Amino acid sequence: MRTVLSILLFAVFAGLVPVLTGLLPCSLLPAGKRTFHRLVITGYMTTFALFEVLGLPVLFFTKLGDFYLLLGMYLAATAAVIVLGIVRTYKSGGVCLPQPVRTLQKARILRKNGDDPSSVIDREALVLWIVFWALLVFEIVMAITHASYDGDDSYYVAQSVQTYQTGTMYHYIPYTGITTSLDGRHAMALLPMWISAVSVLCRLHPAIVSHTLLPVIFLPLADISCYSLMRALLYNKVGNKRGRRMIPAFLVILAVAQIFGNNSIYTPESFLMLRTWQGKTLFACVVVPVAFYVLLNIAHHLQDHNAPNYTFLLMFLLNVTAGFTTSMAPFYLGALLVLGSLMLSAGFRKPWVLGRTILCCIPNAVYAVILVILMLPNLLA
Amino acid sequence: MSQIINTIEEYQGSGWILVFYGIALVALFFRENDRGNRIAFLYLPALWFVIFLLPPVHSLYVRIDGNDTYYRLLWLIPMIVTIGYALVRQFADHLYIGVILLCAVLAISGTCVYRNENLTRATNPYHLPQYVVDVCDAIMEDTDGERTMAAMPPEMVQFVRQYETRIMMPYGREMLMPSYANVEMPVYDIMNQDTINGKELVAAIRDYNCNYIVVSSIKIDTIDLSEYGIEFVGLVDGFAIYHDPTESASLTD
Repeated sequence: MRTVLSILLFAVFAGLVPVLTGLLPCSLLPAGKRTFHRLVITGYMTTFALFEVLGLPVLFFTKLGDFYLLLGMYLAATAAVIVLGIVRTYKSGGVCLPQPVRTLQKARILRKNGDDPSSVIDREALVLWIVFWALLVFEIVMAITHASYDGDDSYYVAQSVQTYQTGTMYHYIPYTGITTSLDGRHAMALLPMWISAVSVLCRLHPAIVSHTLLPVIFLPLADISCYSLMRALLYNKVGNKRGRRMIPAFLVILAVAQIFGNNSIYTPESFLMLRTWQGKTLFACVVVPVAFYVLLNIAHHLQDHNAPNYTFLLMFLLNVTAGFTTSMAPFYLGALLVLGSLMLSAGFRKPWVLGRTILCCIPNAVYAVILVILMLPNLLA
Repeated sequence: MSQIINTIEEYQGSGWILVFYGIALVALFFRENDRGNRIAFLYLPALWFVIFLLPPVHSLYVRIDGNDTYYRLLWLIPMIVTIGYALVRQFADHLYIGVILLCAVLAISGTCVYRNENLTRATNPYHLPQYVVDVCDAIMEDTDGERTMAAMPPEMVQFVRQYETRIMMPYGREMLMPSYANVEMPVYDIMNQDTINGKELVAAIRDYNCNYIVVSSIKIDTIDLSEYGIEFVGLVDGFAIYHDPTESASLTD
């Protein structure tokens, strides 16, 4: 019974709560564009960014990094963001139901009126969706039933366990447990601390959360990120059946590429399948696809002469999230986004795109300055 | 330049992902007619790849973070998405054929992740070797949950603190890394030998205020620690656990 309750709490704190935090940024969108995939990716970016922004001051300015203070602040801030998001979303037209629900609703209405409901169901697309879901479920089952031993876990997972058991952050050498000064090189990427937070909230050991439960969340999250990117690429084609069925076809290819992508230990697919819970994976398989999704959205907004406030907010959140995943990620992502926006600015003759992007990359610059300050003693030694 | 080529070869490994990506990029170059998609999804990754190939960029990167992580710049090129997108565009009217074809090519040219040697059937929800869980539990039971330090066999050091951080170790996973090959660590050096010298081991662990020793049962016959005041706690999953009752100043303070 306790295990069931813990798993339910995990679903709430690692699944439902992050998605709900996406309501506030998504409320900047028109009601018709508040789709499920946008809510999910925006929600996780908001949650991770929130944890990072609250976590760094606690890490630097409290004795040994007061984890429980961070946890309290994170819960309070998350609750506030969710409540504000619900209120704003409710007042401005709600959210879009997921596509399958909308299709079923249409079919029910047709059946009620005596019409053939099969006209709204695309059988070819349905088959592809079923194949994709079967592959995803297979991946998740394999992730739960199989253990992947990775040397880096003795750093990341041990940090989560250390925090879970001591309430301190990054003041012990995870390999040995001997106390040390703050490990600046890795400490700023707070994903292991978020895992500790989820572990405390659902009363499960961080190794269980990392190795067994997080893949249930992160594998679909990686797919939703790529799904969003594909929808952005096909933005002018998803209006018709021919275009819509390309998406499940792509997802089937994606799933097969993930399963057969272990060509070397360096590919994002290898990281996703074997080191699902690590920050590097989150960066390569979630942050990067969302970064391209953001750039494509900006490009399409420019073509439609829209002001993409939501998209730039997502870019800002994404930059903070990059720091949450791994210490070098803000540098990679900042360079990619600035280069991309420079090309878009030149291609569409809209210099303000670059200006706004640079503003959104302020977190990357702040992160870089802090990192250099932290690492300076080591660099000078 | 050779280091960059090596990085590409190591990244690609046994597969053909970069070749497929190149083909997809060329196909989309002729087929993609949306300006935004072209800039953000074709030109940008292509330019990023060119930047990746530049020796000055590599030199600068290596000075900051070393050559070992240079491959991560390739993560910023969405290769699989580009390949998938090119295919669904090309086979838009014959999706089943296209999907089956590409999936077959990916499966034949790729390597199944579930054949990876580091992947085994999980024996517990921690996804850690069961003997690690059992040995750690036995030590914690012996200490009544108090923090302690234990010298673990090299094959266990990677896992111990993923399960129980109240167990500290005089050495950890870093000793298994090539960069630590020349680092002297007396307890590790003794524990890593086929024949363990009991006298030397006891002297070494006392220098580190280490209260427990865990040794593989294969090595048990080779050591006799009782004459140095070390107590035998028990045999757990093929590992012998010993306790040194000598007070440890650093842990009790």
